[in-house]
Amino acid sequence: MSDSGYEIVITTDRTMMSNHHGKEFLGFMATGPAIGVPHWLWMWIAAPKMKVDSEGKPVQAPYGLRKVEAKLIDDGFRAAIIDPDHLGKHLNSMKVLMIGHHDFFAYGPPSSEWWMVTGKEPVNRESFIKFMNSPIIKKAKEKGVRIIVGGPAAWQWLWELDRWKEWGVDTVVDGEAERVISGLVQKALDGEPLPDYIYVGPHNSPSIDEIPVIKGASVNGLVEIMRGCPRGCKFCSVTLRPLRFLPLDHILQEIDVNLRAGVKGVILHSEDVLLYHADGVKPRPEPLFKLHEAVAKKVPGHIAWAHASLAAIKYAEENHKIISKIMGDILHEKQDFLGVEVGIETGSVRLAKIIMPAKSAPYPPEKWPEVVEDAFAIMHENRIVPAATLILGLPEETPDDVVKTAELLDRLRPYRSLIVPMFFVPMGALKNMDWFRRTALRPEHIDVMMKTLEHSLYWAEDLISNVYLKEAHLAPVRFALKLFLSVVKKKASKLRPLVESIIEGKISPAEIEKKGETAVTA
Amino acid sequence: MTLVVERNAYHAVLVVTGKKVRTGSLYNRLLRGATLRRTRNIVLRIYSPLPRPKYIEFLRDLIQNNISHALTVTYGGSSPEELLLYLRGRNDIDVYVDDGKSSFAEVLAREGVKYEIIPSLEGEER
Repeated sequence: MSDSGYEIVITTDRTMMSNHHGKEFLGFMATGPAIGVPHWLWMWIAAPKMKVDSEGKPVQAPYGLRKVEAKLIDDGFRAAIIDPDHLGKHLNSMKVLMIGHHDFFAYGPPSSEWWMVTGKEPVNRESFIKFMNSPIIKKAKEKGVRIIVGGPAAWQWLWELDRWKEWGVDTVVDGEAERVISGLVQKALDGEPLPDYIYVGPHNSPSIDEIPVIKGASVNGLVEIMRGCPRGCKFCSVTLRPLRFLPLDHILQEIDVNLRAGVKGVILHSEDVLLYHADGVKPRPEPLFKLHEAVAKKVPGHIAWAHASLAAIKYAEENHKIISKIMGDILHEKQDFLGVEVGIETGSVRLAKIIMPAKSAPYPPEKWPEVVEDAFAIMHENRIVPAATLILGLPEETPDDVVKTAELLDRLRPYRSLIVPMFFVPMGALKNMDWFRRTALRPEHIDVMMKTLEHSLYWAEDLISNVYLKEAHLAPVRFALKLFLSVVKKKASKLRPLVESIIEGKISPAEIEKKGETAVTA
Repeated sequence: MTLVVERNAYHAVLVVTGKKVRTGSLYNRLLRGATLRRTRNIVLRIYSPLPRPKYIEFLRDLIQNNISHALTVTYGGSSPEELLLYLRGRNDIDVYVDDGKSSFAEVLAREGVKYEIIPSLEGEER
């Protein structure tokens, strides 16, 4: 083994270290168990391997890891992101191993939900545990390598203390790490005792000047345009952080890094892209047009948005025609559609007022269902395809709230989209999924889940063939996905009579459990 | 080396023997300590017969409910003697224990070290 490897190695497991065939939404399949198709095929669709160089450095890597890498390199450390299959090349030189993840143990949504519905562990959890149990990690630890883990799912380690101990993880870091990470790594290199856990408070968040430009390409060209969000929704931790807008120059520099690596498209990342340099929660046309014009001029490939809020979409179009100008003028020649994630969360005004009173702003929360429907119509007309989420099982939820959500779903049927329900699963319940299924799942929930399944199946074929995966080289992926969809459709049609019995009160979810059936195996 | 989350921090020691306590009460004390020292950085040093990181089970609620302050949790050792050694020469450290009848509390009392007992949840459903 070479002695010229890196002393700081940054990595993650296969479900994260993948560009998902260049289609990031396929990565969501890594949050579920392999259903209806063999495990190897599921993993191939969801998280294929990427090319690496002679040192095992992947061409693309998760954006969060790229930020950590960039910060450490800027501060003079010999650090690099290394593919999980190539860690052995750096075993001799490695002193610190840093591991990041979006969902280490599948406790986040939607992983925990698929786990609950199917009774099977999602592949991201399986993959991560297998990775941590691998000989190379064991050897690293025997050598005295310090292991630091972090990322948006850092909190999950609090619930896996046995594994934390077994794997010899030294420190768990939760929060924006730029101002902490170099000091922590230096302590590790100096052999100093390390804290077990660090939560980086909002006041320790880095300023714009302290956020580094990435040094290597990010998965599918994701680059951030801002951090933080002003809306204050109860269920979201991002809103606690100060609002910061990355300058256009910084964004374009990161796009250049991606282009040099052959990544032709870009995903503009924000909790709400339309709030880039907004006036509070009101989008402003000039910064958005300038941003999209500059990015469109630079990238040969497609532009996508990570997230946008439905209220901002409605406001932007109704007041400034921002959506139609971006899609109709700026991006018209470039692409047929634009993908984005959006949050419906609930169709109940009552619940919206409790959990997310500012989500509909600048519209009043009483208008929330209308905001959702209008935004979906605007997106459909302007070839924006949302993958939308809603939340079920919140502590404040009543059966009527869920019925309101079901009614809203019926009105959204005509609009091209995927809609995925996320179940609010209390952490204690994750340790006993059977108990949770028996006690928390109600007929109204099952109705909503069936509606979202039928909605998404209805639009999925169109999206796969005509929108998202229509390139010739993706034919095998299309075929595999259509195979999976046909399995799901068959199971869904078998489930319908059972679901209708539950909704009509002829049988309860608990009775089904007693029969030993899950939602998928029934 | 001092991490940025440790700078000008409020330092406190917590003895975790495994007794279930009102972590909300502990958290309020930590916030008060931080406010008095005009800081939003808290460093909590743990002494526990439980190995690391198993003691974290008893701090989980506190950690997950904290969203406003930087919180650094570090393991100091497993014995009262290690705790006494750490406290020697340090005057501005608040000491909290989860069990007033533990060997830690006995030793601290014998040495004249001031400490506070966190209210217990014993007998109550958590």
